[in-house]
Amino acid sequence: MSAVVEVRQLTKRIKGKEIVKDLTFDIHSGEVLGFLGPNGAGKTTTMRMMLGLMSMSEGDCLINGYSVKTRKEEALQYVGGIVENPEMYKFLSGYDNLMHYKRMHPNVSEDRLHQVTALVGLTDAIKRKVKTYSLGMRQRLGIAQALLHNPKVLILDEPTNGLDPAGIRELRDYLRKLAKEEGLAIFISSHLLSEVELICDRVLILQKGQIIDSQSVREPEAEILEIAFEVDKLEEAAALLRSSLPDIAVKTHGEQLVVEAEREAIPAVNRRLVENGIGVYGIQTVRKSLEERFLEATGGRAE
Amino acid sequence: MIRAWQLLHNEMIKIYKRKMFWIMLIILAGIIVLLAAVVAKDAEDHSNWRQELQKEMTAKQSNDSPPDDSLMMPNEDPALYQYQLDHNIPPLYGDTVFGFMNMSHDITFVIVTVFIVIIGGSIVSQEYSWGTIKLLLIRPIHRWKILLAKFLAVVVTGVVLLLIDLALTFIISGIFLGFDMGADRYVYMKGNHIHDVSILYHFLQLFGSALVDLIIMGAFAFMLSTLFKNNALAIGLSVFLFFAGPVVVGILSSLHLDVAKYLFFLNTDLYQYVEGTHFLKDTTLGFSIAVLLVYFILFMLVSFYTFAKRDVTD
Repeated sequence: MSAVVEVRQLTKRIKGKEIVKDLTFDIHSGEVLGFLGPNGAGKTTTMRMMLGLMSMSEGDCLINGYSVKTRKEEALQYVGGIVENPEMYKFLSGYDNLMHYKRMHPNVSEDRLHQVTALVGLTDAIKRKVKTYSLGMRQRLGIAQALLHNPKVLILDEPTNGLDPAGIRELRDYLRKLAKEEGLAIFISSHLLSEVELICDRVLILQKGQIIDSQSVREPEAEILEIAFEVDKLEEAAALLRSSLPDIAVKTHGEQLVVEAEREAIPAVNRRLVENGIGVYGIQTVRKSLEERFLEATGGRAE
Repeated sequence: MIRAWQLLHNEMIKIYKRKMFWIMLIILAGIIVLLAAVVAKDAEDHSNWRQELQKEMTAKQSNDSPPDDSLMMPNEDPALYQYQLDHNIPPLYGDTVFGFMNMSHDITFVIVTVFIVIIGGSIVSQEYSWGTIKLLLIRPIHRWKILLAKFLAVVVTGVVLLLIDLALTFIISGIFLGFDMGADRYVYMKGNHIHDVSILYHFLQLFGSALVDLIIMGAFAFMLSTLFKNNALAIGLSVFLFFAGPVVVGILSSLHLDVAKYLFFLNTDLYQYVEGTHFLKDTTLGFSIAVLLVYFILFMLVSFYTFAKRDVTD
């Protein structure tokens, strides 16, 4: 997988306040990357900087190797976007709206316009004025405009806002198909965990303008796990691990010693405990769920 | 690269595919019909225009008050009438087609200017209020190009509206007045000299002056629209200044303030220099053009700078 989008040290300051701090991440083709965080965490600001709607205070965003900052006319050719609700010209037909955007991109054929119209199932309604469209139809027209110019990247800011469950499901299936079959890189923000979990391969969790976690949703084995050890001398064991294995986070949770480490580290931790005369009665791995991470990040659960 | 006309095409569509534009045309046509109907009601036969002119000339020379039905300006010089009699040029009667066009332009150009102020004052801010600004600015096009297309669309619409205005005036007055064209020469006094130009040249001068007026007022509304993202403010302030201009001059000159001549909205009527009727006596055509140019550049710089720099946050 190659990175289509490279975000480097991206920072946004407004009136001396850092809204987005030093973000660095990649988005690969064929990947659906979720962008999760509470309202006000800086998701929209980040995406708007990537789309050229807001200026960057520091850092840059490269799309297909072109800087959004200095080579906007090249970089944005490869990007399709929806920023919150896709607002269209209501007094124009769906077709006229797509023609409007078609004229703003080099080399989009009339055929492609009909193709994306069919793709989002609007062929029958495309000549009607947008003011007659339902919210779901407008959303689909929004996707059509984002796909019109064959982008390599889709940047979608809260695209499910205002959609009914059926619409959300439809969008979800469709986005996964695009990533899988057409190799698009998709970056999608949400403040709803459940949504992101179902669509994404990987998730970035943003809090107060910083990425506090990056986690794969679908490949748990490469992740940091929470491992619970059932031991006899709890405090002694915790102190021992803290001093001898400083790289590993250790805490006590009830009667259990909880260690955060990769799966490969389990035998080493166990050996250390046993060698120092601590009785181990049980070892259990609990993969920390995305939900827990998210709640932790958003302060949804007090510990 | 995106060809510039495609961006212009987009902006033109967003103007003429809206009801507002067509309502404007209907209003314009309605006013012209109204004016033509009023004029047609009192239309007279002017075949004996020589006698009429002679009568007025004698009245003027004997310092009597002119007849009530006089179509002449009270301050016009008898020498002008003599010239018309000598060269067989009838007066530009308001109940002939050319006369009607000459008379009605004062009203219709003002209406067209107001329309252009409305269009120019909303072309940027409406994208914000519709929320379409976001999808407009994520295109691989520099913002200044999008803004330039918008401004050009305002200018093109101004030219189109003026042409439609002329065409409608011609056709409607033609229908009401039976295509009686009237004089094809336009004569006027400037200083002590009589000027005699073809009626088409006269209309061309009026058209050019109106266009300059439109572009400057449009640019002013356009700047306010870009700056405040607010249609009502941009349109309201521009229309207010447009109509308040003479009042402002009155106030400033009664205070013996010379700054009035540097206000752009008092320099927009360039036609006043053709007939020498400018009320600020120490201004010249060159001065007004220079003032307008400075303001125009300022309006454009402010518009392009704010539009290019502004973060889209809503």
